[in-house]
Amino acid sequence: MKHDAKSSFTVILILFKSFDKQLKAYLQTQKENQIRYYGLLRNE
Amino acid sequence: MLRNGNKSQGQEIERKEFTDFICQMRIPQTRILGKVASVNDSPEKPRSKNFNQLSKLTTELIIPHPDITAMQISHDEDFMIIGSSGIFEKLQGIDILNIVWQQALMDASKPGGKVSAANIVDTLINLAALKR
Repeated sequence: MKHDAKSSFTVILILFKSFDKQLKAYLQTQKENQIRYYGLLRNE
Repeated sequence: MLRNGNKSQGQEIERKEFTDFICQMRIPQTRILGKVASVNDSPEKPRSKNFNQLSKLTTELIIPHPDITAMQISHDEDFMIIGSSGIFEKLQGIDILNIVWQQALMDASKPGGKVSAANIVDTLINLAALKR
């Protein structure tokens, strides 16, 4: 009998308390980068 | 939970024989672990031919007792991902890390800004399934 060796895709994601804190920090950095980028464009 | 290491040719043949047997029997893998444990724990109990065959095939290949590791979660750890082989065969650790943060940032940037763990998991599975 031929068996199908298909991959299985199962994921369990556990978010810790510090996830939100880190996410806020990334969002802040993203915002600052966008402001810097648009500021540079305006100066040009 | 196949035993790793000692990958001799003999063991590979046994493994193929085992996989074929499981496919023929249509037994879910999680149930196999329980069956092996019950067969091995009570050898005196009469079993069907299939049980005996399963026990013989799995004696060296399946470990019904899992490895357990305990760890202290520190402030540096933001999340934990437990996944099946399909995920880790297709995506590297750094890819998974990037996908989690990118999806979380996308969710947080939307109106309402609510991060959904389900969205992150969906994205991970979709990207892993699409990757060849």
